Amino acid sequence: MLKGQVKGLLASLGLADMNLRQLLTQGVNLGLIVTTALMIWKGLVLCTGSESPVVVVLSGSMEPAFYRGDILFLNMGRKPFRAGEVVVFNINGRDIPIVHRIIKVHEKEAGTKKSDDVLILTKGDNNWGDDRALYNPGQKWLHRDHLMGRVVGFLPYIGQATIIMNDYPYVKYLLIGILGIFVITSKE
Amino acid sequence: MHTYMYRMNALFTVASTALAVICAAAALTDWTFTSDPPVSLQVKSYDGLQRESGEHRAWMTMQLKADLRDVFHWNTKQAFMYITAEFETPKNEVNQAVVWSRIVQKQKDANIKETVRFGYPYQLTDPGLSLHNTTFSLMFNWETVPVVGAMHRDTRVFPGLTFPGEYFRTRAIPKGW
Repeated sequence: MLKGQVKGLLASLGLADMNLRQLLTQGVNLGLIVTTALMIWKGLVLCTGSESPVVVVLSGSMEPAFYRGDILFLNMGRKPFRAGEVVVFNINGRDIPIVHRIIKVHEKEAGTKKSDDVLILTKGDNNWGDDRALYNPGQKWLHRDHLMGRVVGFLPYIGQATIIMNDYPYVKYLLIGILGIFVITSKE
Repeated sequence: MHTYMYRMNALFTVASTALAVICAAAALTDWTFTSDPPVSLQVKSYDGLQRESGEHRAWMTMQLKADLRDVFHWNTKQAFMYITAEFETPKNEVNQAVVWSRIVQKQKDANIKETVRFGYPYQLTDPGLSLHNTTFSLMFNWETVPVVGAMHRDTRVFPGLTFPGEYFRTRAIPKGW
């Protein structure tokens, strides 16, 4: 009975002429694609030292340099953070990272590794005031541990795809579904 | 059905590959580009040094002449110019503050001659309360954001300046600054 069901499913996908071995091979191919993507991402994390080496700009606070939907490449680097650099930071208790420019730095010792010995204040180029209103209540400074990396590269527009997929999740499922069917049905 | 799909797929692949190659080439040409723009920055007057909400805060007026038309090339989207003050105090080895900035998107607007004064939200402050007689340097920096590719940053240092040794405030500071 199970065999009949599988056959019916395969027929509906147009795969009736495939045998089990071919089907398994395609499954392995799909797995390889997924794991390769994961490896590239983790490799980038390792090389850049940033937990999120590629980010999509989600707000207009850095216009006219970065618009919503632009892609930024981050690098942590060994050098200490300095005023004027554009950085990505995470406020405790919030999941969306923010891309803004450093406007003040106070460092107890030059290049110190102690997070709390580094005081940083940021501001968005397109915002009138500094970011103290954005930080948690009572928080005056960012520390080293809040920072996820500095912006080193720029690629316009491409991130729009991510924004569309985030705003309309069914587009994402449709796309993943279509790609999955392509991978499974392609015969090499 | 497959032939149409395959043709569209091939077309899309070729188009995106070509675009990627052009972008990479544009980004690479940035690295062959050098510029040496003339910049001069002078302190005209010290306008104030006060204690304000637990910090020392200083005001001054500067004369800036910077002709950055040189740094624009075909892969430049904008230049972000900014002036930073840097100093060392007993409490903190490195103190930096941006005191002025300007976004320039067109080459013809990049010739700047102006009297620079500190305005909100930029302020020169020291939480260590030790600006008196402290030596500082001013830095004029510019960061170019490309149309596509890597960000570039360059800087000019004007060292050897000293903050005044007493608290004062002149009429040159507008109210609310």
